[in-house]
Amino acid sequence: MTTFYLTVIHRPEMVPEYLQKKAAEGKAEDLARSEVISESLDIFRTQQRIAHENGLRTTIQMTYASLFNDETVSLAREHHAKYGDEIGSTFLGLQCAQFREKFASKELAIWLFSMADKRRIVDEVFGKFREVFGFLPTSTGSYYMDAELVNYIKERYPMVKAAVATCWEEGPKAYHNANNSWYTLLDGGPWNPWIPSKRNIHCPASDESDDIGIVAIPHLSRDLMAVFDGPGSYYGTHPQNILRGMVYEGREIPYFMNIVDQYRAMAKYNRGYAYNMMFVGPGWMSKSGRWEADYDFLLKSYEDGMSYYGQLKREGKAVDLTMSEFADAYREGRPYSRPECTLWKDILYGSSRQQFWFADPWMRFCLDMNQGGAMIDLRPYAAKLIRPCGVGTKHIQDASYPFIVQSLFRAGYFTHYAGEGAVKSCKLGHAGEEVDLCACRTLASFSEEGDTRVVTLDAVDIEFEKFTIAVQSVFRLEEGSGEIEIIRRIVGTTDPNAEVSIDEYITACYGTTEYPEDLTGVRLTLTGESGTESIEYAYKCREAVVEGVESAEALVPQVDTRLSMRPDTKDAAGYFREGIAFSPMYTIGIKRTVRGTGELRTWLKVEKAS
Amino acid sequence: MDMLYDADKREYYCLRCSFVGPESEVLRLNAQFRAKYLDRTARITDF
Repeated sequence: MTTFYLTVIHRPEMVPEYLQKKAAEGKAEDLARSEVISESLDIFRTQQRIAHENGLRTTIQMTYASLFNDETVSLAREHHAKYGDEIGSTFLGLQCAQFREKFASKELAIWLFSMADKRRIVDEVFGKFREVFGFLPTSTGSYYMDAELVNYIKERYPMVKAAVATCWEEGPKAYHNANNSWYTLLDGGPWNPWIPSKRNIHCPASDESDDIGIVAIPHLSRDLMAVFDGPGSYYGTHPQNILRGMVYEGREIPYFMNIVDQYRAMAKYNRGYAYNMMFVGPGWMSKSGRWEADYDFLLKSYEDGMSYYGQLKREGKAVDLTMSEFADAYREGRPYSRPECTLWKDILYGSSRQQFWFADPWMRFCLDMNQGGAMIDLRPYAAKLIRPCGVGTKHIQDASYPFIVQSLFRAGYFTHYAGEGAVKSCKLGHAGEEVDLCACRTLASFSEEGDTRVVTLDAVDIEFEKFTIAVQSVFRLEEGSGEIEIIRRIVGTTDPNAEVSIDEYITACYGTTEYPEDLTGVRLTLTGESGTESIEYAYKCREAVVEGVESAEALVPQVDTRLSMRPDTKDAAGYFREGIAFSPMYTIGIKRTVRGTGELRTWLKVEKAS
Repeated sequence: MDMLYDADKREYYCLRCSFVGPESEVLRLNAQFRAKYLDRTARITDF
């Protein structure tokens, strides 16, 4: 059975986003100016009307500013009573005269305040909410909520069960796309709802003791492929952002429905469960237009989007829930170990490209079929890094979860001049010739064997000078193991006597941006029948090989991660390669030679080092 | 967002790069930007 859950969220902002800058500059210092509030309220009413006309319930996330507006409060009560909308809270839309008076700050992002101020703001917002409505909210949200903030909310307000907690892949790309003025990095989290860890909001909880106590949902459902290598804002279930990205022709936006349908299709990879959300702030429906789209088009895009959701609901293909209802539904019968995964296909650029995305309490990774199934992103969730953000913290605005591999930020398969880039792949070699599977496009299919998810890639042909082989890759993900089993199988050859080496490797680093981090302190270790080799990273391009390898390991203390590889055979060699400052990477690998057909089976394990 | 309009010369110019041109050129470049989305008019239902 398939269930497609939908949450539609609206928030009344008394000072819409497009006026925020002028308000901060003092050009619209009267934040209570009636025409501003009137327009904002009109937009909220319009969004609510459109949803209700299509038979959809919403979650109304009351901003702090809106709690002081009797008309908005009255509207929320009315819609709750009449339509069953949930009245929730949000930490977006903090800025108003009352906030300035109490907190003397123009800061608009709760996650960037100091922890002391975060606590005060939480108490103020929740206190005002209770004063106005007579009850406390069970859902809340912000573009980002670090685990420290959510832990405080749960301690003081345990009834909260759901939150919009992160924004998917809005890291350096979002920064660049906003003329380097969007000072907050939010890469590395799940793209679909999850139960976060108490230690880090990006990481799915390992078990009940690690459960932070809420179900988190990402701000918008995004096109996983387009957002990974492009500006995140344009490509998601936010119709006006799609207009901003100019993904339309005439006045029609089939791309919106294509994203929704691909999210519905995720049920195939997630035991019948699928989810989608829409969360458009009122700033995107200004009467004066926005991002070169006139108001009529902004309005039409929203009406068309809601109309599609409404149609799906009428056809019995979507279930609209409030955020709190969804939190209950999501938790029902779901083990902590269950991964979120999807085989995403290109719906924008007209290619046949696929990416496989996977997230569980141990890791998040992406396999790119355009590069033979290469792993182009790897985040060590197992480390459960404690990484608060905001004033007074080490990272302040960098709220991303670090990567070990990120092929776009750290070169990947191709490097311009020297050295290696971050990627996990496999090379096939014969008599000095070598081909990396990164250069072999393919397609994949998904299946399950009990609690093991299997991604099987179509075989690719590799032509050596005198013969050709066909190589198939299979990725097996046993639930709860924290490991990826990778099988590289030569399934055919035109020369059954030719020896071919199969070299499974990972070239990695760590960080959150394109800029390198110091690898001093990383330890590379090989253990095998011929002995042990181990070095502390010092940029000296040292290499080592161990025969009969049992384990090839990289210990990265900076992100508290142990990355290790092991084979299922004793006739493989393990190696490491230390980089240089011009190529600040480390590589570990396992290599085996077969005659004719044969395979190399290895496991990549991601563990907490400490 | 970094483009300003010089009404006297009737041209747009960029604050971050050396682009300069009339509205027609801006619209042409917008259309070119859009052209890379080969599936922008496709309705895709097969997943």
